Amino acid sequence: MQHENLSVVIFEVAGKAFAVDLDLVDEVVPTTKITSIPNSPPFLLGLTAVRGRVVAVIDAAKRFFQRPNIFGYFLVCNVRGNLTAIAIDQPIIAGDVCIRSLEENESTLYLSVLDMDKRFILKSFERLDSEKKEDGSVTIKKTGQIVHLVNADLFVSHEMASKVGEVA
Amino acid sequence: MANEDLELRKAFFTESVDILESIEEQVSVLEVSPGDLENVNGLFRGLHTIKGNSSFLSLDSITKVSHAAETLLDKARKKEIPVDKVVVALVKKVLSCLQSMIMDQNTDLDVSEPVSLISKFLKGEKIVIDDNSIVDEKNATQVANQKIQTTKFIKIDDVKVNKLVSITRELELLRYSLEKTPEKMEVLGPQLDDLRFEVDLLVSKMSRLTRSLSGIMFGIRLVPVGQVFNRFPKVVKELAAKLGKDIRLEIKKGNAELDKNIVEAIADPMTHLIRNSADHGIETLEDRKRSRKKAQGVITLDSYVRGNFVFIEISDDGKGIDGDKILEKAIEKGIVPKDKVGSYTNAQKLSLIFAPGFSTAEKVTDISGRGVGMDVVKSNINKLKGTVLIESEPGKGTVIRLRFPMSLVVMFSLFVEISDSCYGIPVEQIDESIDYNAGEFLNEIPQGSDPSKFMEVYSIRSLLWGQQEDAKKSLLHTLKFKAKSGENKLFLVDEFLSIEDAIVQSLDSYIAAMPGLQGATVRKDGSVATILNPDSLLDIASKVKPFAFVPVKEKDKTEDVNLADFLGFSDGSSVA
Repeated sequence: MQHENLSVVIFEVAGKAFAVDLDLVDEVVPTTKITSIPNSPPFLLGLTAVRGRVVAVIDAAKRFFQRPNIFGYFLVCNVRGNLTAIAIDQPIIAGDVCIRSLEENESTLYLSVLDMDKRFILKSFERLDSEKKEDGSVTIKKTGQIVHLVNADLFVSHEMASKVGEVA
Repeated sequence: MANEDLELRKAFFTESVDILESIEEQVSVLEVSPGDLENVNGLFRGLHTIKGNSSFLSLDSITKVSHAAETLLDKARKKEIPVDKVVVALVKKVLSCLQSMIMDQNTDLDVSEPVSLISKFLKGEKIVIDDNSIVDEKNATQVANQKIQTTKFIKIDDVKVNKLVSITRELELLRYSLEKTPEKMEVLGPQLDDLRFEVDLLVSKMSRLTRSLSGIMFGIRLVPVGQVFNRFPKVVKELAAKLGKDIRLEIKKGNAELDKNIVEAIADPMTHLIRNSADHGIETLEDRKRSRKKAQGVITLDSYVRGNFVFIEISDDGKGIDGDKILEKAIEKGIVPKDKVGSYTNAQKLSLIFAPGFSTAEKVTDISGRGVGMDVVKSNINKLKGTVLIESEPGKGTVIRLRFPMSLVVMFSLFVEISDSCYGIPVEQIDESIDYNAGEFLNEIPQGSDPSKFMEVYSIRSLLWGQQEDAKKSLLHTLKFKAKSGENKLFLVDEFLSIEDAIVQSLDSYIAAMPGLQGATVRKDGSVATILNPDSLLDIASKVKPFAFVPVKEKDKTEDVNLADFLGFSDGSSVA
């Protein structure tokens, strides 16, 4: 089976598995109190404090599926050069993960049943179980878990980002 | 060499070494991905800056060779020529030339070989590049040139400084909670008195230490903004001579400080802006005479702090910018579609000069270049989390403001409650607090009354959240802000909570762009409170109808009692 290793954090949003590049993630923390911001888009939940730093909180479910969701954790990521907390259901795994990239038609199929904005998805893959045996050989098993690698940059919308340095 | 020259050359070399480092990186990217347009643009901008700066210092060889490479890359970025091996080799040749001249401060190298190779190549002539060739040292005519000692800095790892700042911030939060401990112990009973006293003493010692530590840490990265202004008198003098204009540079002594990285990085965009002011802003002597202006044009530099922002202002008394002409040009160049511009405000029209590809220059000059200036300025300022604001009046002049958030600042703030949420307002921006009975509020100014005898009341709840005011309340708390436009405006809040030092952190720039806010702070209970921006609230208020009117009260000592109580003033005098 064709497989490769990917350095990611896999997490759940509204029961679906997503991943972001491990390099972009600062830490994962349980949710804390959020202060809302006036005149902000619905997916921008507000501000929270992580280790004394003020960071913006973005609701991944609202961003991906335009619907609210109960979240338990903040994935503290570097988005467009700013530290941003992404509200997620829960983290699944962080580190080197063995995966199989989906064929294009397979990927299209999975994405077609996923009711979300496809611009967020960089690629889709299946998570594999790799087991090292005593003789040093590695067996790879399918898990059937489909994971979508997301483009963390898009958590903050282009419209919002374009306000950066707005010329008035 | 005059001292002034030495200073400028020193600055040029220090800055150019940094630019060369990024050029070197960009050249290696160019080799592996020649199609990366952003990279080509980056290279072009780097060379453009070196060319511009060197031309002022009359470092002709540097100007010549960077100009040649810039022309080559300009064609590449416009896709007039493909980025092939020859182009890469030519750029590498130029880079090596520039490195020899800048690193060794040997500025009179013979650059005719790369310059003529590039010009031949652009004419379509076949050229042969020996990949291993570097500038032949023997041909370099070394002229006795005064070597300049570039300033030596101790480099501290950014990560380490940030870690220290972050620990200091956590320590500050800890101090806040500890300061409350003696109070809590007090309620436990008199047997704890001695211990309470001891803790009190320790806490006050620790407070003193953390305050000093915070003062140093939060300021460790800050340098005076004015530092960067010193290089401009010479720039303007040279410009004026080149353009045949009479221009004076006036530097106001602002005391604003900004992060060292920002101050170093703004020199370049500021140079562009000043060149633009001199070249396009200030009129020719004849034009000034015709407009009955003084012959001498003035460009003014200023820096100041407003709220949580540092402003850098570059203004001129030149011909100003006509928003409609800018719009016309932008439509002509296809920057904005014609059918969408009907509702453009003057500010929006003016802001089009920052659009990529926009240039009002009739011809390419080595002063304000090829129109790369303004969009480069904007993108560079944005990279530093800053904003560019422009105001102009045709015939009168132009003001360009660069606005940067202060990364960390301690502000003595009044915390208020509005719709169960806590907000901070810097005390120095509050004029006074006034309480009213609900009965004093009027829906309209009674007919026949003098409007100047009434204050307009606005609801922050409704301005920020679009929510209705609670009609049942009997006592209403209002705040008057210090801003000039706030003289007749009051703002309603639900409760006054406390007055305390708040470490105000700047917000991500897209959030900071949302109206009404200027920062946020972490409170003692770990929650975040946003810091309101009175100027922005006044601005929003000016666009809506007031919630109510109240008769102006004579400044009565008892009216200020709320704010004064928090501050420990017993006589009720105004806090502001």
